[in-house]
Amino acid sequence: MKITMDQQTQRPVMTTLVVSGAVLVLLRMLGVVLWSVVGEQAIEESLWVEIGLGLMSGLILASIVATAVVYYGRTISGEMTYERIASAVTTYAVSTLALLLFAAIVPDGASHGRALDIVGVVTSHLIAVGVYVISISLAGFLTVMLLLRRHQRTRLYLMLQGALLGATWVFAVFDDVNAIFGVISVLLALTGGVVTLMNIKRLNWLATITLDKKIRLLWLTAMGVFASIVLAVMLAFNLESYVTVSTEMFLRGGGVLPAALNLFGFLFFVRLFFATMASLPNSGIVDRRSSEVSALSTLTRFIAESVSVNDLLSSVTQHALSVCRAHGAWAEIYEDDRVQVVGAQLVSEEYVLSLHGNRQFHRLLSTGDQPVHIESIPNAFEGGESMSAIRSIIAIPLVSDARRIGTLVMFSTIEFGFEADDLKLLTAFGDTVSVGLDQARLTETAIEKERMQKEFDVARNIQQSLLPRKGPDTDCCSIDAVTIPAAQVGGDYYDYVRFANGNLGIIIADVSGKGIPAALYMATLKGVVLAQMRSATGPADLLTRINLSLYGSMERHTYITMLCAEMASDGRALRLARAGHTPALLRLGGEMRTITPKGVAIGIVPPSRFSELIEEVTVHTRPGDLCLLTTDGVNERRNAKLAEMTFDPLVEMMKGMSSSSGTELVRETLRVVDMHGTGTDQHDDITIVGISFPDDCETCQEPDRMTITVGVST
Amino acid sequence: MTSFHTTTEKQPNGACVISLVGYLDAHTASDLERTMQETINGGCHRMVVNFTELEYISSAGLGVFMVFIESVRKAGGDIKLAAMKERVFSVFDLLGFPVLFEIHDTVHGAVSAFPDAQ
Repeated sequence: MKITMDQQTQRPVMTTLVVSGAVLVLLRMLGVVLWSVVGEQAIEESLWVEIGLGLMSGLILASIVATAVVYYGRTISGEMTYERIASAVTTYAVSTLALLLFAAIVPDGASHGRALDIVGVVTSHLIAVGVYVISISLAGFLTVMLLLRRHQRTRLYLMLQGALLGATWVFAVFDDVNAIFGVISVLLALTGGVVTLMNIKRLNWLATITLDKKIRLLWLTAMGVFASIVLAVMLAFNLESYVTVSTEMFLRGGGVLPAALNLFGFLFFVRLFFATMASLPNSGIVDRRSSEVSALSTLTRFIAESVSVNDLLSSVTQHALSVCRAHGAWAEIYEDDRVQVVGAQLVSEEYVLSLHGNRQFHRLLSTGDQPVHIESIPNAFEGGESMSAIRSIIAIPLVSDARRIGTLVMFSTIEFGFEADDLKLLTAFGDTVSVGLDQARLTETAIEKERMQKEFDVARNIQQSLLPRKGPDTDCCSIDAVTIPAAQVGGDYYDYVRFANGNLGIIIADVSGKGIPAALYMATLKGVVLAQMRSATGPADLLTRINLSLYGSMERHTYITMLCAEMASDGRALRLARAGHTPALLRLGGEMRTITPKGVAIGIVPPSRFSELIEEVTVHTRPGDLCLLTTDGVNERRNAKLAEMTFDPLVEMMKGMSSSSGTELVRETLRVVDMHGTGTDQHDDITIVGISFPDDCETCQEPDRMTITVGVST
Repeated sequence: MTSFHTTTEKQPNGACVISLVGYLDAHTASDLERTMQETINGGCHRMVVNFTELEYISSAGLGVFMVFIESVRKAGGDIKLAAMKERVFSVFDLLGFPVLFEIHDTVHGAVSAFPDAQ
């Protein structure tokens, strides 16, 4: 049976059915009044009258059945729920009892197959139609019940039951002819009852409803049992009752169908009653399991969504409280030996912290990796009596990243307030939370990392912007440079400056240490260089001024090594000064030279000592000469065997170089460094400045290639 | 990756010899810093750092000696460096550290450079 009809067509169809049924009832009542009241004759006295009235009754029945089919066809989908069953049973029981009451209090208006007066006609019709409406609705409800919880043979059983009902009726009608038909009719009805029972063996939805609902259902089914058995027995056996007389007058043998249906209903209600009764004892467990499952699933969902550990813990204590018999809960987190209370429920943070004043209690909560269940605090602790509010507790360790980070605590204000079940459940809870904590921690770390990464990127861009983007404009030589920090930012620095005399200065520097601190000093150094370069008379003077500015203002373990070269205006000389920096490599003519002017790193000695110790070396250059300035990240670059590169491969490389651009010198140097360090991580910042004196520059002959000046020259 | 450790030994004239073994770089510098701080806290301001078994020193490693030299000298003591390998010495030399620290060829020489009177 499946009626597919939308709401819009359903309503007019049902209205039509009900109205035509009502009209038929009125017509039939008119007929009975004319024949039976006015004509004072029993209905069965004329076969034609009985057939005519019977046909009308049949049509009325058909409209009731059709209405029921349309109505119940709509509700056949969906789940069987307590609400649906309870409302159906209530409607049935109340209307049946009301009908029985009505039949009992109205005066009998019929006798020996004929209505005595108009009131009798109306009441008997009301009762008969009422009986049929109730019974057919019951049949509709039972059918829906069975179809919703169907198993393989449901449809077969339903059809069998329908056939049995029809047969029962037919045999009952011929009861008058021969008593054997009556017996068969009863047997058929009983068979139908057995089929009903076979059909309703599954009532597993009962297990999922709560205790109070089950108790309400017990009352309702008891009412249903009572109403259905009274109606069934009355219709089947009490031939004197007004209900039976009315239905019999409505249709010959008319009591049989409602009697059988109510018998089925009775069996169903009895079955439901006992099933409900049987499921009562485990209701507590069912109630708990269902709240546990819902709390755990809520928790799991929350864990999936939550990113903050504190949010998570607050939600956890709330949910834990709802699944066990606790009177309050809190979570505590241990950080640097301090206890932090999170998500306290029904207890104040101050109170919890005051409990930790008891050393024994504190140790119990914060150590050990197993859940703890203390049934009686006053017995378990010295001074436990003073903890007035807390009489029994369950403490569940919270573990994140294999480390004990906190505890989930449930307490009860009565001794022996928890059961073993609570401990098990909360332990499961704690495990779930630990997983959640790991996840929250990972998320927090990932977010932090991403934020740091972004900040590092910004820092790197800023640092890159502090370095010259291209070589200086000069005719006499070609200069290029590169810096590659080991981390995002580094402490290496190079720059091109103009001295007081307008000459070009080339600077390379290395702040000790790495990363952010080195980068900050590098930026500071850039500022000092910009401030001092215009006043500086030469490399040694610039370095001395820088030491003067920075000495005493840097962290004690930090120092800066620098090398500064001044290019003569005609490009035929380089004046070099060094503050503890890696030496300069020069190719002068075909000869390789390492130039190491004396000088200490910046930030090591006071300005007076510094200027005493620094010296300048002037190199006279010719076309084709090369000068390579590096930081120690170059010559100390290690290979897979941890061997430092030293200057040797660079010396060889420069010796063999034929070209004449600074860019090429830098590129070749980088190639040599990369080759040495293949397959290993770069541990120090690398900076390379390449200076090349082109071949096409005018040659100038100098007898002595190098001049050394001690101290600051002018 | 690299290993580093120190041993400290007190000499009859009150000098403490801190012997360095292994690689002194940014990672291990804090170990040496702690050792030296402990030595100073122990009341010893005459320190000799024995470099005999030090294989490598980085810029961060050098910074450690700068942290303490001023306070130790103010307290009437000194930090003397001794027995450096050629390569280690060249790192000190390039930076100009010899103007700041006394560097001795042998530990014995460094220890005896402290006056006997305690």
